[in-house]
Amino acid sequence: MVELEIGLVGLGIAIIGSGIAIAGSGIGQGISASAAVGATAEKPETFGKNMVFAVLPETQAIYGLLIAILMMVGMGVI
Amino acid sequence: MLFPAEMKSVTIVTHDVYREKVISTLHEAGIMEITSVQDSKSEVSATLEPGESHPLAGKCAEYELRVSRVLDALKGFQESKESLLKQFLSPEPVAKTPVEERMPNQLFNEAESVLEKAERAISVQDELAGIGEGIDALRTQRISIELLVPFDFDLGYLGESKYLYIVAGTVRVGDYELFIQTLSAIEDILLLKRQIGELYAVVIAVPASAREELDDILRGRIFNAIKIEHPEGKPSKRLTQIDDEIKGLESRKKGLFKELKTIHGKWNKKLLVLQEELEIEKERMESPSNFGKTVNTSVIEAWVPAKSVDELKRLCDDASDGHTFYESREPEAAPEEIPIKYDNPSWLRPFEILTKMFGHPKYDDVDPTIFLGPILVIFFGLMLGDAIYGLIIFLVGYLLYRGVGKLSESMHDMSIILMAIGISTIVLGAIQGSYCGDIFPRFLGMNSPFMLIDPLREPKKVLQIALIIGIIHLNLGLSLAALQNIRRRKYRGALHDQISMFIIQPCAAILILDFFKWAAITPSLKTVGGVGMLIGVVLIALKEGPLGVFGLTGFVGNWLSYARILALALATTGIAMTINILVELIMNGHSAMIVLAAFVFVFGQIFNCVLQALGAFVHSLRLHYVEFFGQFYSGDGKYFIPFKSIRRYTKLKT
Repeated sequence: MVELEIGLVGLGIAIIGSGIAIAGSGIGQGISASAAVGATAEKPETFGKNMVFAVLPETQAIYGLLIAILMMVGMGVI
Repeated sequence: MLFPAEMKSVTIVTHDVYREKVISTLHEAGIMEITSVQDSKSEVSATLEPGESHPLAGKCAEYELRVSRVLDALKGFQESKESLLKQFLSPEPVAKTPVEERMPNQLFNEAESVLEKAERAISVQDELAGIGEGIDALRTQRISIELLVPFDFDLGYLGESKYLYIVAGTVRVGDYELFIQTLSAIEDILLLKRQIGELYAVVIAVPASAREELDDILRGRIFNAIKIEHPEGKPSKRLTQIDDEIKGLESRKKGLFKELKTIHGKWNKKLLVLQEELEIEKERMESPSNFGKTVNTSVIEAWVPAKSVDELKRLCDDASDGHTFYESREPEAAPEEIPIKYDNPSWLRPFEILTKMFGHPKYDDVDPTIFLGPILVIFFGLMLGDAIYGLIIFLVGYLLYRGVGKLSESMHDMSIILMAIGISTIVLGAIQGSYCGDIFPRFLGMNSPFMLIDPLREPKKVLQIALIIGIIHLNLGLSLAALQNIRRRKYRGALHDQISMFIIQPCAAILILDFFKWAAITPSLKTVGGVGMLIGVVLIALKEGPLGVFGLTGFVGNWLSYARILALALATTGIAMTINILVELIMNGHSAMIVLAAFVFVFGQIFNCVLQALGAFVHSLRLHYVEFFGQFYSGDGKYFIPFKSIRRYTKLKT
């Protein structure tokens, strides 16, 4: 029973941690993507390079996901 | 294929008698990019006079502008329009008009005679614009006069007469009390009001002597004056007049539309042909401004792909009866100044657009298309990972290929890309056991066919596959960077930037496996790992300084970024499964709900397919642009733009 509770708390923490990382990444991407859209409208040929800057903050969401998976693996949830 | 096409720098000297013929021949062939002799750093260029455009180039540009203006005026006025879907799926091919090479004056005379009749379209468009403004103004007037209908007085009374000054306007109901107080300063005043919704329409009459005082009071935000052009007759009568005027203008507008359609039907095709001919002529006439001149000859400098060198020489000789001096040599300019032409097999060419979107390779850079195309197709399939979504994408690609892809090169390329990623998604989706999510187990009570791995149940395994793919992809990038460094004889760069990473990776793997006790590592292997790691770190620090070692964390970050392959695979299957659960819930409610369930299923799955396909494409592209290109590619090259006549509506009679 106690183990199950610890497991659920751990799962909750993993979800919250992943959520914070994803939300932060989303905010960052919103800022950089709006600038990238502006730059692409001015110079369409720079699309590829603008996309690089727009998607950089996205990596933090992936870290969040990874840590969540690692936590769940560590706790035996998956 | 691995590098852009080999280029040659050529110099052509031709006698001026043959100049126009040589220019038109080379323009039709479209195999070389002319460079400015004045900008050239060659010794010969300093001894030459700068070339000048053809004296009739200005006149040609003027005719082209006039034709373009008429075509703009006729845009959208064809008699029968094909539906957008038909234009996409089964477009009519453009019938090309056969034309002959003509002297400029012949072309101008024809342009003049066509414009004489077709330029009427511009005045019709101007008149239409005037009518549009007129109708708008009348409609605004109508709204104002409608407010005065309840007063039923002659609008001619508005304004100043011998004894009276009369104004009309509106006041908001909430402001009316304040408005009345401000008017109390005037002794002799007549005020009529009628409520219309939230407003009071008011008419105020004062002695002519009180005009200035009234105007001062009314100036402000409370009173909104009604201004009427041609105030004559009672409001209701004026409204009827306005309606008649609008009707007259609408009828005139219809007549003008019809006239434009007639002009379009009669002249549009001819104008398109003329525009193309004039554009081609203008480009030819302006090209000598890049040439060098002696008394009787013109000197052309250009870039040409090595494969086309012999053809270029033959064309020049044919056009000038052998009176051309011709020299081709190896390029001496810096790699970023040499234009590049992609040199890929036909199956790979559609993927060049993805490289171009980032930037062209430099002349001595690896052309990454050969890696980008096939790997992007695999990444997309892994990320979208649903066999039915893949089938939908393949069918869309096939329809485009059979339809608009036949006419447009860019749509043809896009259709090939769609078909390739569609097939990859069908195969990799089947392997992941996803068919619109879990329809087989949920609705048909059977296991998904061909399933080898289920991302929802075995995320760890998918993550491991993603990370293995990632490390291979990154090392491919590092290998290409090493290859570029070695070709440029930058051996130290290859040693410090790439070979160091090749040493560090296996050594780090040994140390990590030992640290987490994931494998039994012998002490001697552990020592080899430690020493190798140290050597790798020192190699990086020697070039980049101590802070350069932090580049290792960047490399790890890039590697972990490939975990998005798992994330997207999970997202597609997860959302598709949620839609299926919803559909199941609706179906279980009542047998009549099956229609709604079908609607939710179709709409939901299409929505998920579009959304996830977009995500999978962007993320596949990102893994190439950021992680893969970051190892070796800058995309700072210059694209080869041939001196070439573009013929969409004409074909040259031979």
